[in-house]
Amino acid sequence: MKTDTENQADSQAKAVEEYEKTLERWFGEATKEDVQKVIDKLGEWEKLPYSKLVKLNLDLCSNCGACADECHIYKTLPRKEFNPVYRVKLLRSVYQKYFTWVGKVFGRFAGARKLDKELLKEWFVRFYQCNMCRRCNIFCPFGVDNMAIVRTGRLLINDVMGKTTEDMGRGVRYHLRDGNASEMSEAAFRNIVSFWEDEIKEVKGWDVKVPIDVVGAEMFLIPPNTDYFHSLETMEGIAATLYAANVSWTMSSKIFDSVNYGTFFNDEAWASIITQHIEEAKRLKCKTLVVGECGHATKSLMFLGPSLLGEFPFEVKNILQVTADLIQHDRIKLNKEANPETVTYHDPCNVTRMCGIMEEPRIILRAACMDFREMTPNRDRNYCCGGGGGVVLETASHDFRMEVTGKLKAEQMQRTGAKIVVTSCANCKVEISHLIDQYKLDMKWAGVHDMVLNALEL
Amino acid sequence: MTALSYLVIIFGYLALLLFIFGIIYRAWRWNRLPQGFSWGLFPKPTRWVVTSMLWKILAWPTLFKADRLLWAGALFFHLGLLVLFAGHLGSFIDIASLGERIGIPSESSYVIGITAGTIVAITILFYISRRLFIRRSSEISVFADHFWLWVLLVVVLVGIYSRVFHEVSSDAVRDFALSVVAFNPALPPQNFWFLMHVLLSEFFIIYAVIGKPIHLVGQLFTQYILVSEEGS
Ligand code: HEM
Ligand code: SF4
Ligand code: SF4
Repeated sequence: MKTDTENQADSQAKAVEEYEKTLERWFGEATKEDVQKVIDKLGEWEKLPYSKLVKLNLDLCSNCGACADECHIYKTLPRKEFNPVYRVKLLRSVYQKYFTWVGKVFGRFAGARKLDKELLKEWFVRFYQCNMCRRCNIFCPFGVDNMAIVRTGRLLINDVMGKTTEDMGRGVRYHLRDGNASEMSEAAFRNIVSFWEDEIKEVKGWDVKVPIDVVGAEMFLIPPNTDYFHSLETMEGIAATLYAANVSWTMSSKIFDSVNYGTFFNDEAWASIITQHIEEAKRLKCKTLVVGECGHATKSLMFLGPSLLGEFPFEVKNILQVTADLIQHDRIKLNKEANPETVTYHDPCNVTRMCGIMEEPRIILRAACMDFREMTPNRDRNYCCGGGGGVVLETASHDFRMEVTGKLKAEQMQRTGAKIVVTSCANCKVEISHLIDQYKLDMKWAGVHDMVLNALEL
Repeated sequence: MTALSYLVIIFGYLALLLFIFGIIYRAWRWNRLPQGFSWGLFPKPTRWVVTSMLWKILAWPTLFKADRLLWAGALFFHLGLLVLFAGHLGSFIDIASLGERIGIPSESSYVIGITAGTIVAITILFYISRRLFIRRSSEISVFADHFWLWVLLVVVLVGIYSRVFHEVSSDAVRDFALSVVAFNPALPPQNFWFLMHVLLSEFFIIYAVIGKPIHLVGQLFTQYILVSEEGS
């Protein structure tokens, strides 16, 4: 008879092995030319608009390993391959081999390594196992940002071989073609919007009309497509909030999806998608582009966008900032008693560590719920849900996420004893809903604006 | 012995040149690269940012959270290095009388030097054993990581040994060092252990520019994510 721990170790090992096989299959085989092209491209890394980040990260790591235990993946399964430093050294060693004289002269003794087909395949597997959450970064004494290297590695492979993971790659293709990642037509969009309106009428009795294509509205809202199917209450909550506060706002019938999977692996696709967002915001002449409850889009539009494409002629905000501001200026009324259960908040990496939006969700939840409880660690030190870096987008990664990347999060959520886990990122919501099912946790999940919807009064 | 003396002088100049221009070159290279994202810092008042940066560079608060043992070891190591560095300034200027003025008797220089050296040696052994026995560190260490720790250990041990058993007068050292900086090198004190100590340190100084110790400079160019006070 095997013990529980042994069984658990078995199923973990199986989940890892299966996902690795899938990743290898997606990668296929590299040719000699691919390898050479990747090396050449790596030689051009200085042209990247954020090469300082990459270069310092390649130069400064001292292999001390202090960051390893801060990574939720390594903490859950301390295998060498999951050590953040092992992962980024797959690329760093190649950089040393071809582009530093120490690496050229001393080779393996200095940790330098030749790139070959097998190593390139390993790049693909390892780089797509990282959640790109940057938690390791804040604990490194020198501020080494392993995520920047992981992204560079994904970028090189994608530029040269066009490879990425399956569902994410498809999402980007759809997005470039249709303006959203889930093949949603304008008619479908309008349908869903009127469904929200009906729902709000039913639970609140209010005649909310979602403004569409209003040129000159103050705020232009783009939520993530996932919320249209997976988290309707979030959208209803946002619409009701803006209605209750009498804000001048609009949505677009063409560009209604904030997600941008290019963020995770490709600069060009990323820039094309973000350009769709920017152009539509310009057409609508909004003052503020408001991103819905979506982590990577917030990061992408707030920070990556202006730094790579130049300043935008409008301001970018996350909906949490908007709502917190409305609360602080008494522009909406919330009745806590509508949310009597214990609530906790999961800080999405992209909203929190990347954008510093930490207090706003707490302002909202304290105003909308009777009993708000922190999970530990929290805010910028929070663990990733296990779905970051696009990992959650893959159906095939399910077991890997449940057994490895999300396990710590499940334990952390359970320890709070809360009945509802609230979060503000569509990808985190998917991952957390899977975790609740998998671990049979006695709790529900919700978006921040789901709670606001319950508590909102006119 | 004179062959060794010449090596000391030649590598002395080499180390000095590489050290000064190497550091400037690397800093220049880092600095001219495009910064790209500026997502490291939360919107906070400049004063908060500056004090947090200083705190992070001087006290390593997040390393304290991540790896308390390494934090303590590294702190003693670097403090030891700092004291040794200050002591070695005595090779160029008369720090003994400077010390007397602020109340450190010149006789204590011996005790301070040996103590700091011992602390550094012990903490290097700690670094080495981490790399050998702590998994998350050993599985990612390469030959070079170990090699330079051993070099530094030998530098320190030879330094201690020569000071205890073959002490060279500080005036003789200063005469030699000043002659080197004046580009008119005199023959160094003819003491094998002293010369070995100097030669090995010269190697280490060259390494410092291309290797890890450059983190002193490099970290000034990284984008630290400053950690909030509220988070826990
Ligand atoms: C404010 C400046 C500095 C900071 C914050 C700093 C920080 C650190 C930290 C946290 C470590 C431990 C990480 C590790 O084990 O690699 C370390 C290691 C080390 N530091 Fe520094 N350091 C500074 C300046 C220097 C300087 C000026 C030197 C010059 C000799 C130096 C030489 C070393 C060496 C040789 C190691 C050992 C690396 C190893 O483990 O192999 N550091 N430093
Ligand atoms: S970015 Fe996150 S998932 Fe990736 S190595 Fe660092 S802590 Fe682990
Ligand atoms: S990234 Fe930082 S914490 Fe991690 S091993 Fe390198 S130097 Fe140490």
